Amino acid sequence: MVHYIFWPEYTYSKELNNINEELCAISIALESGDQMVLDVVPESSFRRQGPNNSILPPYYYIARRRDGQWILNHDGFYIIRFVAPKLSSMQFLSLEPILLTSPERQEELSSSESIKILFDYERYHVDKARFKQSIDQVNLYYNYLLDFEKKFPQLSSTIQETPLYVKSFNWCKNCFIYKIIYKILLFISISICFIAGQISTLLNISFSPFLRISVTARQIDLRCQQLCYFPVQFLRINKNRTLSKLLPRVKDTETSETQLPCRFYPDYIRFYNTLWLMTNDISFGLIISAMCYENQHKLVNLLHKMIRYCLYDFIKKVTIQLADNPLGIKLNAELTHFLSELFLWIIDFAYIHIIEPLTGKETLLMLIKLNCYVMSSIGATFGLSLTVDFLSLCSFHIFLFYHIINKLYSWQLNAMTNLYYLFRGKKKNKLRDRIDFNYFELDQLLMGTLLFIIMVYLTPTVLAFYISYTCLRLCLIYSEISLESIITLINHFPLFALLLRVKDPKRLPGGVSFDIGHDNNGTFLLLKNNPLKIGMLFKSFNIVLQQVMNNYCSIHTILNIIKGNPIIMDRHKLYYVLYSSLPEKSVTINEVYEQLLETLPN
Amino acid sequence: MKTQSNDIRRIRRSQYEIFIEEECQNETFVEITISPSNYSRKIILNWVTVFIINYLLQSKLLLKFDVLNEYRKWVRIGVFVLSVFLIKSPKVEQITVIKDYGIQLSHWNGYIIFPYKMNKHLTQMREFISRDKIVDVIINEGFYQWYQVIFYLCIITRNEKKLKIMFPGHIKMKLEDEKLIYQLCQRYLYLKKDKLKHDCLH
Repeated sequence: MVHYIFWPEYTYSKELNNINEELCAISIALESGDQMVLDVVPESSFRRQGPNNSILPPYYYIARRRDGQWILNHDGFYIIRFVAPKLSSMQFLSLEPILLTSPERQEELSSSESIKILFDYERYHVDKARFKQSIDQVNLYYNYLLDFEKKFPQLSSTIQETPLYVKSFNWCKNCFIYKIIYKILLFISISICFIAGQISTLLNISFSPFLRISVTARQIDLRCQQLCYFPVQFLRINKNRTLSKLLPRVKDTETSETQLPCRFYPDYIRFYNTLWLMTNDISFGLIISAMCYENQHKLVNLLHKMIRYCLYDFIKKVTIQLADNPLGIKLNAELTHFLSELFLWIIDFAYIHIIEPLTGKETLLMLIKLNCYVMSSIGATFGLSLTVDFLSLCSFHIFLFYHIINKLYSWQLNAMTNLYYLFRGKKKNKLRDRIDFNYFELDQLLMGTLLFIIMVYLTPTVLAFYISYTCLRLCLIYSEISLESIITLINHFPLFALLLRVKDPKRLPGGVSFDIGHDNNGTFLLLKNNPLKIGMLFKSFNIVLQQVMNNYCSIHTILNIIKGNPIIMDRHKLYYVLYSSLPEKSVTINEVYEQLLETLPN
Repeated sequence: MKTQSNDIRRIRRSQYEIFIEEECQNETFVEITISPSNYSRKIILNWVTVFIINYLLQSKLLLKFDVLNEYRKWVRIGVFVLSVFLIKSPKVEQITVIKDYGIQLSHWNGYIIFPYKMNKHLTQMREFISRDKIVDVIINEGFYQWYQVIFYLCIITRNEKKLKIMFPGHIKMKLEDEKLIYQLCQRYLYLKKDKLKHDCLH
């Protein structure tokens, strides 16, 4: 049976004043964890303890050093050295990678039944998680050291003092002005939170189509939910912090487990990340709006020409060309004439009622100015989302064209497949979802064959229109997606976590790692933090990117187009994954109010 | 060969080499490293490839594009740097089994200009699977490249859909070596009183 001793690196080769003096190592071991060395003390002060105040469990005296070599008092122990994580800098070790998304949104892996039987088999049952307990102990090393020094002050070699800034901060807190300012800020934040919560619930009513259609509505909803969540995060961060700094640490096996400070670190990262991103948003908005405002006339001219060309002239040209033997292919004259007349009529209607009023030079100028004001006051994302909405409104006729021709094509395809089955003497059995042999009357067969031939000869016409309008629709979708991806990047980029990973990887643990070291005493294991991989930070982006590629850019899409399935732009479903840094259900305003009132300094 | 209570063994095969380092005193850990055979010969071959590529590319580029003749020095340096960083050293894989705590999987490759230790320090990727997440270490049988049947060592992890393959770069290891590694894992992962439940390959 092997036991491990966790030994902090700095105490292993600690040299005191007198080099030849013997050193004793004192360790702590809680119920289900391994031994962890707290401190090394000179033997003389240790012997001076006497029988009255001797070392009692959970403290143990486990090793002494003679001639530079550590000799363990008991056999069967193995040393694992580690560098103690500094709690004040929010460093910690963890077996699981740190969760930067809200824990309620983690998906449960649905495994098959047989795998579950394998996992729960009694041979593979593990009762104790000894390593996890030891890691928790290691994380709280400095706290245990403080307690030990309080209990045995004569053994401690360092004197702990509350630093000056903590003392002055505590004095400031009792000031009258501070209390008034704190109360005012509290009421302002509660009212903002309340209004934001109401807006968010209004937008999220199940029968309202706003979120699915409009990007601006979704952006407003996201902002409101983030604002609502701020007080909750703030409480979680500061309530823990105030508890651990001012109150004396209660060293008790049960409470120390539940009060692990590393539980609120992900909230800390998420809170400051959101704040930073919002500030970035406003600064981007200021830059872009300044640029637009300076060049507004040039921009208006350019936009006027471009929109008129793309959304009116080009489409009209395409439709007229389709009517007139495009690429030399002879299409059915009457059907082409009918379809192109229909589309030309819709284009002209849309032009007169939507495009012309919206893209006149004066209106464009006014809209650009409005956009600039919005961007500079609330943020670039709102300006961009207004642009996307404007674009989708102006291109409403392409949306209509696409769906009309898609319906026509899918009807045609469906009718052709069924008539083909009829031609072969078979019929699709809806009940059993298969093709069955069926006896048809002669007149049914004749009629069906005639209709089939007519439909086959009409196919190139419909196909020509379908392909051209699908391409137009796809171009539009790609431009909307690119604008929306810029909005997404501004909203959700893990800036804080990325910089933290570069500056102090010990604050973002992605697991532990062991190294084997050699020294005079033999070999030992070195426990280190394994920092989070950078790819893990962008996990939700990868999921969204994959979904977008799958829906709009893959072989799956081409198959759908051929089958006649419509390409639907369901923005909200795609974007929903990125809400993962927010909790699913927002906290009611009353609870937040009560909790914030508790933190008022008295 | 014993160095300070650590037992080191070496097994040589045609495609790969296995180093096993065991801590014998308390049976706390075992470290198994698999590296491709003739490692230094492969590095020399890579250097030769680099020189051939450089010679070909540089002469071709400078012949085709006359514009680049002015920047001859930069073109040569650029091509050299690019080719040196495109070709990597062969991949070395390692597992460390720590008693009652878990298994650590690790691998590294690196670039041929740097020495071995620096490559290991720069590009080592580690993953530690703790004991409560390991269901079992098994030798599984599967199809490889459509028609070959191979045996490979892997770890079943709790609540994950995929198996973790222990030596993915050397998946066609000899079965005797895999059995040896399996026995070592079983001996070193579980404590003696659990040993009777798990050890079934004698």
